[in-house]
Amino acid sequence: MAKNDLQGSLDLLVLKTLSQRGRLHGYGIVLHIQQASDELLQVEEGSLYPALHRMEQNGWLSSEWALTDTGRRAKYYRLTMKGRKQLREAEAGFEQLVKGIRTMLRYA
Amino acid sequence: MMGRIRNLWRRKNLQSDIEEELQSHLEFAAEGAVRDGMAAEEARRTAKLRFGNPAVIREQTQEADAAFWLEGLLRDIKFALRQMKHSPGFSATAVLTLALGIGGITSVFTLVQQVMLRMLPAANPQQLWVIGDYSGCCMSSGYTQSNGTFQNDWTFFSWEAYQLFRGHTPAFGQLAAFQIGEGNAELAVRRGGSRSPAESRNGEYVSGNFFQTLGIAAWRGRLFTDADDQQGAPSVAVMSYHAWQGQYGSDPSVVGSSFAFDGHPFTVVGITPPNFYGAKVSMGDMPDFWMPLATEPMMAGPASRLKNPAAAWLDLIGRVRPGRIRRNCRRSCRANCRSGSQAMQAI
Repeated sequence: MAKNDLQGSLDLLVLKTLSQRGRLHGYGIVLHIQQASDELLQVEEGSLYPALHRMEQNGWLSSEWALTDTGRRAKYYRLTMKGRKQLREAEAGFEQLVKGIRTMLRYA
Repeated sequence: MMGRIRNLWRRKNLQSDIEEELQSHLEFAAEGAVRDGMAAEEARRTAKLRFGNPAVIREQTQEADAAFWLEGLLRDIKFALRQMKHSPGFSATAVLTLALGIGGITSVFTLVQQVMLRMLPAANPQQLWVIGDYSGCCMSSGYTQSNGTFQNDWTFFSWEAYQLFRGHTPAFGQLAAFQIGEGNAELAVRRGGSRSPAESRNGEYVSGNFFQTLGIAAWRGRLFTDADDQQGAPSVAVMSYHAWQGQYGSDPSVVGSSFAFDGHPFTVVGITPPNFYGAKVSMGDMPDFWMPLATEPMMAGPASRLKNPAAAWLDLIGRVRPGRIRRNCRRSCRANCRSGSQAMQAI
């Protein structure tokens, strides 16, 4: 179950975002999750950055400083090969979790 | 070797890396909120609240008005290396500076201030800062000093850039420019009325507020004011004490008398103090004469760099207003470096 706790779901959201969008900075990740979830999911910035750094330590993400279109400096993240593998596992794990919870809730 | 330093640098720099990342997030968030119709101040407050750690950005907000702060680390390291070449006595300082550079930007900067700028016979040298770039500013690949190519080199500036900086840096009470060390103006100098052939002297173009910024008082006569650094103003020059003593026998009548520099008449209006070697603190290529920047087009003719925005030929040195906290300097430096680079592109 450890993989399927709340932290795990934030990881999943970030991994999925980066697989869809390629290269993004932290704020871009927040926006994407917000928009892609129809405003249902709000990522707490305060927990996002520790998560990003932890995921980078795990080798799932790589990062680099670069200039944005408007000339601002920002730290951009992208998925590594290891990160793609992790995403597949996390997606599968999440489906299992949802399936398990739904089944449990329907249990009468 | 540079690779090793770079790695050490990166590790030590991790903390500020995180700090900068969080700040860039806050800026994006505030910008996004402004686009969504929130007033700028409100947007900043909301971004801060959402972030939940006001301490991270408190100083940044305070310094939001202090434009274009750039730390001079890269410049100072280059300077240190140059000094090492020129004078062995300086090596200890330079090595120490580089060693501390591995330890952190702030300590280097402080040291450079103390050892180099403090050697200037200037008033309150601790308020003097050199503007330049460093690894954390406007580069995506970090510390690029080792390969000798200075991409995004913000160490030397054009006259236009100087005007821009001078007009937008309220944190600097004074911001002065002086010609960079390489390619100081070689002058053929002849004293008015003299029949002897012209002699080669070292000249340097400086802004009208150069001596005021450094807090240097005249040894004899007067030094420049902004009024001297205007197109059409009478051509005046300031002579170094060493030239005065060594070449002109400490003749008091030098002050007020006319000299020809490459055939152009200048009036020497004053002598600098004996312990002033120029802003570079280097005895090797210290100037014999200082001339206002505004005289450069007359002297250089078609090769003039003054109005050429592509010519980066000036060093900038500023005096911080008392009360501006240096600790905030790095933060606003980064923020304003970005707007600085945009402004520069607009030039």
